[in-house]
Amino acid sequence: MFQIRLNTVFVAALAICFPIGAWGVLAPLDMAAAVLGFTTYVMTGASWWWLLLCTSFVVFAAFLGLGPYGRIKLGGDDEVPEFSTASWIAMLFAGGMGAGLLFWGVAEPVTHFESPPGMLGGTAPAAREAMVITNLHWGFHAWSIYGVCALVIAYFTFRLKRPPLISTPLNAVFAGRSRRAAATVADVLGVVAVVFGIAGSLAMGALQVRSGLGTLFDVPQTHLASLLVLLVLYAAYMISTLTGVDKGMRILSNINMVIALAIMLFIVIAGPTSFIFESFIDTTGAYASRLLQMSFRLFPYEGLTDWSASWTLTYLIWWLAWGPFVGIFIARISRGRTIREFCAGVILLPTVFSILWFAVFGGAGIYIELFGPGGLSALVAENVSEALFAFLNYFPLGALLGYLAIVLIFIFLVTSADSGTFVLSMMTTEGDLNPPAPSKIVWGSLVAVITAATLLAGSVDVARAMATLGAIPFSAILILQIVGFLRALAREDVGWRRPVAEPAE
Amino acid sequence: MRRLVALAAVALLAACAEAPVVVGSKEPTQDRILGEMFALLLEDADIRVERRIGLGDSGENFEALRQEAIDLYPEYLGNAVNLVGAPPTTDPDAALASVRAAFAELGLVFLEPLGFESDYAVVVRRELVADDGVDGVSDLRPLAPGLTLGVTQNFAARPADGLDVALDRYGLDFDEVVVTEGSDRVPLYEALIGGEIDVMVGYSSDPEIVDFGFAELRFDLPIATSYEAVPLTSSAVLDREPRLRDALAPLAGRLDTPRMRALTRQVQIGGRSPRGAAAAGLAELGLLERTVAEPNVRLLIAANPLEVGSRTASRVLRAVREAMPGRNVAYLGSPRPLAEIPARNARLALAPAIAHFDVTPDGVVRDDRVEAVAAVGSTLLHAIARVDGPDRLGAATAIATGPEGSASHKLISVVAANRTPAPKIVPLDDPSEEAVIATLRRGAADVAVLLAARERPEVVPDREAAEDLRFIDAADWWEGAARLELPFLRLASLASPGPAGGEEQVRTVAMQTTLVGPSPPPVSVLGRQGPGSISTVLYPLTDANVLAINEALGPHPDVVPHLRRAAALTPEIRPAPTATNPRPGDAALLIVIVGFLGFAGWLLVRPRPAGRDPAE
Repeated sequence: MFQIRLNTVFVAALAICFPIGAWGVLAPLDMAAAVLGFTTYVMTGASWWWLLLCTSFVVFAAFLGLGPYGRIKLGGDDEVPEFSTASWIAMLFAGGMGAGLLFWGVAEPVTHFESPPGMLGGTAPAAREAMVITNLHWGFHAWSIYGVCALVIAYFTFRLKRPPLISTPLNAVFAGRSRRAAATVADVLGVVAVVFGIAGSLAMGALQVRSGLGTLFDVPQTHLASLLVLLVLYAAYMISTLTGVDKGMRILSNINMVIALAIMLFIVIAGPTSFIFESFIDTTGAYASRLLQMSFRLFPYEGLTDWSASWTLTYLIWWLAWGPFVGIFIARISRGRTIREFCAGVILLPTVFSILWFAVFGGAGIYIELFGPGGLSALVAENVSEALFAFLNYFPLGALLGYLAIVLIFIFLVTSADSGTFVLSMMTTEGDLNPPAPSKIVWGSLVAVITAATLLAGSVDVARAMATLGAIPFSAILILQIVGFLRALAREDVGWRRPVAEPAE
Repeated sequence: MRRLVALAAVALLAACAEAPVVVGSKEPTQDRILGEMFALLLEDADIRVERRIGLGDSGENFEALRQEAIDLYPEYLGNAVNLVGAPPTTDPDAALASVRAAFAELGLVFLEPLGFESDYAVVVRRELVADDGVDGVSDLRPLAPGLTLGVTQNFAARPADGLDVALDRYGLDFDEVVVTEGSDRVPLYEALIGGEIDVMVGYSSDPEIVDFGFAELRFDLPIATSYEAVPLTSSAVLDREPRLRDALAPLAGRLDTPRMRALTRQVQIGGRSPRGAAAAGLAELGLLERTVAEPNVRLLIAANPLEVGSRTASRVLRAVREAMPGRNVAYLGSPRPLAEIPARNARLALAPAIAHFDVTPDGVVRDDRVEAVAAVGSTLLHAIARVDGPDRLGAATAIATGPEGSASHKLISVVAANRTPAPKIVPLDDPSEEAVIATLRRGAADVAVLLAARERPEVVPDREAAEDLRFIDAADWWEGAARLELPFLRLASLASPGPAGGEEQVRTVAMQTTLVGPSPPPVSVLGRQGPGSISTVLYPLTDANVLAINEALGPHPDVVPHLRRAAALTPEIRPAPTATNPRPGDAALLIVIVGFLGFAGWLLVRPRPAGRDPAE
């Protein structure tokens, strides 16, 4: 049974990965156009659905966290958490947000400030709107998607002692032949989505590091250079993943958190401190009071559906695309927490931190545009990474901050690849919580090969297409997972209502 | 790491304890450079400095100084007279003494004069001087009723030495007086070039006077005081920071008008930052040894090096700077400007319409990696031959062009491919006029072509130096199949030096000169942001920037329809008014989604599935 399942998933996943990978390498433009075209079509054609779906995750997460099921522990009733809360939060960010947080921390608020949808840019109301929109994208919605993905897996794994697989919750839904078919489809899709999600992101990351090195040290922008970057990345994440979650991943995440907090603190002190904190408090209130409206805000009357698609929905699609592996990874590190604790730690706390983060970076950026020398917004439209370094250069010790930022980006890539490799190994070893080294080596190397092929294809759009490939199919699986989760929850006795009767076997 | 941050924080706090000297300056480039010079010299003397450079006009700086928001700024004596209402005098020494006395009552101190005056200058087009023998301002009196004067609002508003004072003093009665807003003289110089005004009032240190070949009229009846540039500070500041006077002393009397014009030009045309120009100026004077890091937010516009400095190029530079404040905009010389955009060497390019096309064996193909942001002028084909050479371009057997891939090479290639017998094309690596002329004289080609703006005077072969050369007719040469492939070409006339020192008109072709940026990537509305996502794809200018550049360029024609235009310039196509579904596919999506939700709902509520359930 074990052997058969492993082979089906492994073989089927490879059988899907290779043609798609080959397509991307041989005809990169066609592949990117087809995949991104499909995603675009579904996104703009049913924008209402994606927003509704993701908002329902927020509502669902709130119900779980605040409702009667909050007391259920993800594990045995007397288990204690495996990781300290600080490490836990650090790993959440390292696995789930990545370097984007750094780049878009400045870029996104400044972009919205310059051209908010349906209003005049560059004004004080635009600044407030920009902060609220940014937090809509990085706040409750993002973390609720991850949170729900993770919670479902964690519940079945630690509470019901089932293997941490994408297919596990589906077993509560389907029966007999259809169950086997559904489980295989779900697991294969999960593996494919994670492989491409990681490979695409790694390819983009390697290109990013290459261009950063080009700016700093005149490294030539060749395929050889990107492959060398990838090689270093590969070595780093393999070392990290082979040492296990509690060593490599935990240590790197903590280092990352310290560097990120140090940069943030420096900007708070060297930047306009009171402006930043005023905008933090102001944004918190504005976000809280407008959350309901923004969670359902589309632009049918303004004709701005394209804006929704290229911002709000793009983010939601990204979070969904990363859902399978970030979900499993978060589940893995959340053993021994109650559902309420889990929701507070995975959704509420990161959201508050995001608001602070964007208030510091975005606030300082908007300050530069409103009261400072300006010039950031045009640069952001041109080159986001240059904009980040230009932003850091507005402060004393700008060069040092720049180097720190590059280190941070590199570690973020390593931790994302590490958690991806780890999750792939779990998924293909029938849910081993500490998968064996050979499995990690196989998957880590496979991801590196696909990344290398993507890099040789030389198109960032291929990387993007790959990274978001799994999002739409996975959202369907996710709904079925939730159905399974709800059915399983109904049997819990939480003193709210009579649990569903155990069936007489 | 933590220790490092703590250290930095401590250093920052310690530095805050000592109040810095706040250096201000007015808005114009020259004032910014002076302000930066002060700041750099003070920093060199280990005095902590805060910059409030570019703070508005005289009034604002003066008020800021009085309210101690700034501690020091460069001022001109004439302005000071206006600010405190001191009696105007034309003797610089007396002026300085009287202004010093008046300012001392306010607790303000003039340091030593810097050595140059930024006097008002009455500027006219050169032909007014050459044809009508105008020399001094008073010579304008008989002509004034037929002339239009342009001044800035700032000049018009000055009580002691402004517009009314000058008109009264010289008894001038102009046909019309145009007043532009603020203190920016650039629109006035543009109007003077365009002929909308005939006389304008600028500053003698404006680099435009030399750059555009204008004439400056002598003030034969002095109106007000001298306009010497002098650092203005307050006695309170000097008490607080006694080293200030000594730090600025080396600059006294060292700056002259040509140097200030050169530095201003470095900023306005060369794209240097005021700080970079100030450091360079101080280094030339031997007052500063270190170099200054210029801000790393350069925005480069690739252009044919021969065009850099032309009127079109300067106008574009100004417009881009105005549209994208905070960016350090500069030109990048390149024989193939458009290719620099995909190569990421430049953000924008200035190129004639032909540069948008590639010549392939299958014909002319448009390069859609770039899009036109604005039409900024016209580029003419200048066909040059020896006096004894062919008299039309069509009769040429060997044509010298710019380097392969350059605009002139592309243009000649297209037409040559459509002609039998095809003329030989001789691409030159060095596209300069000298190289072209040398090629013609050597006989390596019997005709040479240059693409250049009409107003670029140096393209016209100098009559004395090149008596053996002339422009030839290029109009009928592109008739036939080439005309279909190059529909954006149009007829134009060009003045060629004639045989007896006169001029003759030759016909040629012209096309739009365009400002070009990268075009958006072809696929999807999917944004470029996300958790691990950094797109390194080139992104086009934002619509807001495109519109701002077009606005800043002033009135100009639309981009010809044959080129790819920026989205902001393309009219939006409204869907046909219909009550039915414009996207039927969306209905199918809706059915799939609702169907799936129904299925999921059924799975949720159906009784426990039969068979062994591993979840139980």
